[in-house]
Amino acid sequence: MKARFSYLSGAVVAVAAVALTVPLTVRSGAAAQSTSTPAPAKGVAKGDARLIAGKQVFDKWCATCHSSAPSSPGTIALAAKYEGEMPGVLEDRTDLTPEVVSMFVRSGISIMAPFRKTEITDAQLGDLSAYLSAPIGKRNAMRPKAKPSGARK
Amino acid sequence: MMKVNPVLANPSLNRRGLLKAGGLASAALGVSGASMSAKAWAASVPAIDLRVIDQRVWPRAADMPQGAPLHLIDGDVTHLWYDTLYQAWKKPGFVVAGVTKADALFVLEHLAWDNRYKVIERRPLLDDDGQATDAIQWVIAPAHPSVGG
Amino acid sequence: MAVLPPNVSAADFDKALTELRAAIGADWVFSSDDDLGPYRDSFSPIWDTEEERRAGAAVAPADVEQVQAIVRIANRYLIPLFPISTGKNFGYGGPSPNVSGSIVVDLKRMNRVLEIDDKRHFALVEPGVSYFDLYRHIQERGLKVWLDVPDPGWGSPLGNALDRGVGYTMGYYRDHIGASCGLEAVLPNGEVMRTGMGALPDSKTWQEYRHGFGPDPAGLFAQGNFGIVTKMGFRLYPQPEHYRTGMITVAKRRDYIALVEHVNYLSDAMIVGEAVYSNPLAALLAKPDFMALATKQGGAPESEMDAAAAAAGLPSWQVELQFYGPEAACAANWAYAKDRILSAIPGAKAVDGEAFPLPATPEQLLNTGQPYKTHIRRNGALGIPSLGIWKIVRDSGHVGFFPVLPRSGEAVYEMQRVMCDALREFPLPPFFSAVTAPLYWPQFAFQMVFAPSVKKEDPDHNAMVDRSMRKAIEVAAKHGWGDYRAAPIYQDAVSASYSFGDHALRRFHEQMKDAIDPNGIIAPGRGGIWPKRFRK
Repeated sequence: MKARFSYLSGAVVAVAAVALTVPLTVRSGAAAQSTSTPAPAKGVAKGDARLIAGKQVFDKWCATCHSSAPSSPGTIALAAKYEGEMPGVLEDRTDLTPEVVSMFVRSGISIMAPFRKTEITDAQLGDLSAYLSAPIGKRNAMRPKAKPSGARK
Repeated sequence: MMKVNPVLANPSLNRRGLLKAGGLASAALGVSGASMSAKAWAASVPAIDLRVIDQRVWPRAADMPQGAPLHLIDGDVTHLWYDTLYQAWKKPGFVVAGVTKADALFVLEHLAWDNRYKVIERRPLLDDDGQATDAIQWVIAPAHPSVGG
Repeated sequence: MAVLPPNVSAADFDKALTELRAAIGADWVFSSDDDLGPYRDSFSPIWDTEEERRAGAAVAPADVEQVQAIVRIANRYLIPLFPISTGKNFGYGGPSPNVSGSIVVDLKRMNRVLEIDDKRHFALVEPGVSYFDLYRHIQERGLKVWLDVPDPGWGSPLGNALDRGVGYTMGYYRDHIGASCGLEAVLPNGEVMRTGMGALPDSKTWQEYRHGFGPDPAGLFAQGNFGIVTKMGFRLYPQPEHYRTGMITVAKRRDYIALVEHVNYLSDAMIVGEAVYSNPLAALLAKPDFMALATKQGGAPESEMDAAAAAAGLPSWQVELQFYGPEAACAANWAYAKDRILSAIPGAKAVDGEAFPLPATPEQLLNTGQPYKTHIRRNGALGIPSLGIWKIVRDSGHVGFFPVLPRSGEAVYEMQRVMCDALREFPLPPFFSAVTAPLYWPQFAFQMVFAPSVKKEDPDHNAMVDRSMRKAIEVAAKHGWGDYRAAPIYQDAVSASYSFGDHALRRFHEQMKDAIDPNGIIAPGRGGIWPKRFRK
């Protein structure tokens, strides 16, 4: 745990916060419109630093396939899988635990390849898991306001 | 019996003498100082096939007497090589004589080597006072069995 | 008296020659002094000294099988071989070997154009095919492809590429080893290897996909000694329809920095062919005052150079641009280049040059129709081999040092200054001064030229030239500038300057050399690579 917290040194948080102001790297134009990440709200609590880092990992590695854009392949696949029982958009899910996130990230599933530790470190995976299992309200505060993306009915 | 070309064999000949002697092609080659293979060749092929005049050192080429074809250059031998010697040197027995600056002869000599020809005669051209000029008079002839040398 | 290779007895050398005569025919084994004259380096600064690198014999094989036989005989007697294609590498050693006593393998008789295609734009040639041969082959058949030729063009595409020669058309083609595509080599053990797609028996794409599968060792044969290359493929430039030139001048010395950046863009975007830089103020070097300024210790102050230009009514720099392609594209590209540069650099001016359909007429090849003094080598720019350059060779030839530098105005100014100061002690013309222009022969880099002349009758002059060459190599290396090509007598010094990682590259080459050529018979020392038995 100590190592993980040392990763969240002030400098890194600052970098992450700055990076959040930069538009996401996404492949489709439609996605780019709907997922541009806003600057974090002023006065983000220090305890939220880890969630900011997790959001950063999500945006870099996961959003390409799991954004809220309708064309996002991971989102389409999950929507098809759950047939409306759960949101297709990962960031809208409230059932994810750190263990589940870790399992899919490290093992992959279907066409999603496993992520190596050279891509997402254990510390980053911890941040990502914390983010995806955090209360939905906190997560939504970090997400584009214009696009409430619930489960597709 | 080989005749002697006074132009190419006589180092004391001057520019005036070159004209008086009737030009490079009026006599058979002299081969003093040439190698054995060149001598052997000279006995069988006594005629010059082409005269090369470098107008930088011999601007009065128009005054040259009748004889073998004349090819005038200004130092650049590209056309002489590409249009004439390229093919002529692929066949046996072609003989070229010339008066040029050293740079032109340098290029022709290396091209000759590529084709198993070589310079068999090389003398400075003398001016009217008997002093060596920067021009060279030379003969290039076959130097290998594959080209009749 | 023949020169013997190191550690080879006269008796063994004679035995080897006897075997060679049996293998390839007595007429094609040369060992007399007279016959070996053409294998000396006419430009050697150590002509007729003990150090001159001289062949012990020369052999001229007719085909690949004879090359294999020669290699096997050399292995038996541990005699070094030095392959040449046409031996026209003057300024870089000509036909002379690295090791005296070597047997020169003269590949001039292997002179077939094996394949040429003007629909898929490539050629496959043997080593003895000269640029003139290939040009004639193309002309006689009316093929719609161009060569990119060095100047003079009497060497061979294969030999020139293997010494990383350069030309004068579009960037990709100017880099002759870069535009090669697949080769065949007789290895030191006598086996024949083909690289790239050529390794696939009955391959249909040897000259169209150079990489094949796995590592591509073709590059090892350039400035290397891993075998005797017997075939090589080249990509050919489809004959463009039209040619156009134009010149851009800039007023101030500082403007050159922006000018270079724009021309880099035009070149890398493949809008222009070779961009030919020159400095109009070079005409003022005859004036002692200006000579003193241009060669001032520590560099000429910018303000004084600008003042000299203004006083003379001359621009500070100029570049000639060349456009190839459809007529409309040439015109549009020139219009674009003018607009791009003139709108960005105040005081820049453009002068239209010539424009004409290709092929050029004989009059156009004379390059006398430009409305300004041109530095373009017109034959080379149009892919036509020429020998005219010999008219400018001074004395008994020259040696060449061509340091590679970045394509930036700042880098040009730095090299001018550093090399001018470094070579000041030598009584030579000022190869480096404030008006020295870079050469744009490589595709992505500049070079400058240091080519002091050699005088066969003046050993003291030649010794001075030799010292200047070694100092130039050393000083350039200290500033991060390396030579691209060198005569055998300078290859060790140049190789030593590529010393990253405690000479890791040289040790890598040596390890490969020892593995592939354990007897060290192929061109020992070439490229600075010495086989084990020659290493000290």
